[in-house]
Amino acid sequence: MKIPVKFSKGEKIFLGIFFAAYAGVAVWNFGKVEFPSGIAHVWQIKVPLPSILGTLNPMTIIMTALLLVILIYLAFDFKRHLKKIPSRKQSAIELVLSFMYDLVKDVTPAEEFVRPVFYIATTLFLFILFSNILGGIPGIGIGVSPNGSLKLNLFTDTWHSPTGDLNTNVTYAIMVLFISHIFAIKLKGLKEWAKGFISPNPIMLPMNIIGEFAKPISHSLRLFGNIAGGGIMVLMLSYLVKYTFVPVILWGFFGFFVGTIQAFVFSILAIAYIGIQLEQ
Amino acid sequence: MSGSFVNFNGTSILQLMSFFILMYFLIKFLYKPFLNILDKRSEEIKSQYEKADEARKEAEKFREKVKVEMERLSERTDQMYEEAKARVEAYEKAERTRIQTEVESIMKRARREIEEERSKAEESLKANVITLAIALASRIIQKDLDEKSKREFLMDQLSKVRDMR
Repeated sequence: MKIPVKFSKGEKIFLGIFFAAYAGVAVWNFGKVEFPSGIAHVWQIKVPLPSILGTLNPMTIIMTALLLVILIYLAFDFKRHLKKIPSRKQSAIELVLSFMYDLVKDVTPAEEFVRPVFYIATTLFLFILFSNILGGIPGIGIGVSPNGSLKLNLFTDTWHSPTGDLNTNVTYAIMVLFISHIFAIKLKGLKEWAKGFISPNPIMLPMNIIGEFAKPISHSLRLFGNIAGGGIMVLMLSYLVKYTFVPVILWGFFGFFVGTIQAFVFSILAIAYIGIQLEQ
Repeated sequence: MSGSFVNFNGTSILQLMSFFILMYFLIKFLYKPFLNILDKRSEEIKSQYEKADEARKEAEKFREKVKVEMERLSERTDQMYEEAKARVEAYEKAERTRIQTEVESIMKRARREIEEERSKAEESLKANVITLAIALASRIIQKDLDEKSKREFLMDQLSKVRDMR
């Protein structure tokens, strides 16, 4: 079988130069790639006592702010170019949104909670998706040197993702738990909601409470493990092949493939947890 | 300062805040317009359907009306056809009678004329024959007769001839 691929002369010259340069850099770089000693360490700063924040992870905050700007800009752009007959970009965004909306509509039993659940789940999905894609870009990262000054780590780190930080995941998982219970109380009333814990039998009360606490733990650690573990895996494999060819493929796999699936799973679970609580 | 990547600290508060900020802006710019446009689209489709339904109903009504009108028209045409037929028949009849009477009158006149002509011709023939006969007779018999007796005699002869015939 012959694949009919044809390159023009300009493309051939470009590809030749590109691959030659790539191979040259790879060979030159081969001995210089160090073992990533800064692995599993993050940059932290301590905020003075009057503030309640305590210790902070600056990279998480910076990346979150960046993602906020990107997402809000995208949303603003969507609203500005909104038309009844959609453009290509608009229909792509509409596809994602209507997919999420249908999902929420199927799972949520109460009509008046469809919209709030849709808002929460879709915001989670978009934020986690973009964050996951950013995470684990191989070969570049920001860390701190032993003497405390900031430095750019080349070939010894992967790029930081907000979802690769446990703070984000645990916060969002606990938030989903609280939201599900608040919605349940709003829908059913306090008495009915409390009755849910002793059903089908009062003996089941500790089980139910443990079950509720297990939800955010599994919910958050699943995402954290996937993204942080994916980042470390990309880093180690990239080190083993000395940053030739493979890292981009790894980033494509862990960033886009696993990242999309995990974002989807996280938002689906959020919808499901809220939907279960709203069940009469 | 660097720490372990598994940590839980004040960042979570900021993350929670940033989530709600993000949700606020996304609701404002993304979800509300999206849901509105969905509603608008479904509304529009519904109204289009309603309009189509109305149009169909109107068309149905119109068709009914047209049908009735057509029936009426065809009835009227039939009637008109009958009328026309009757009129044509009456006209034909009248014309025929008229032509017949005309033909008859013409025929009558012609016959009368022929009769007249014939009688005239007979008369003239008679006169001529008489004259001829007189001339012939006067030549043949060389008999001098007065005009009156000649004529009487000849008339007798002629009557005889006619009787014989």
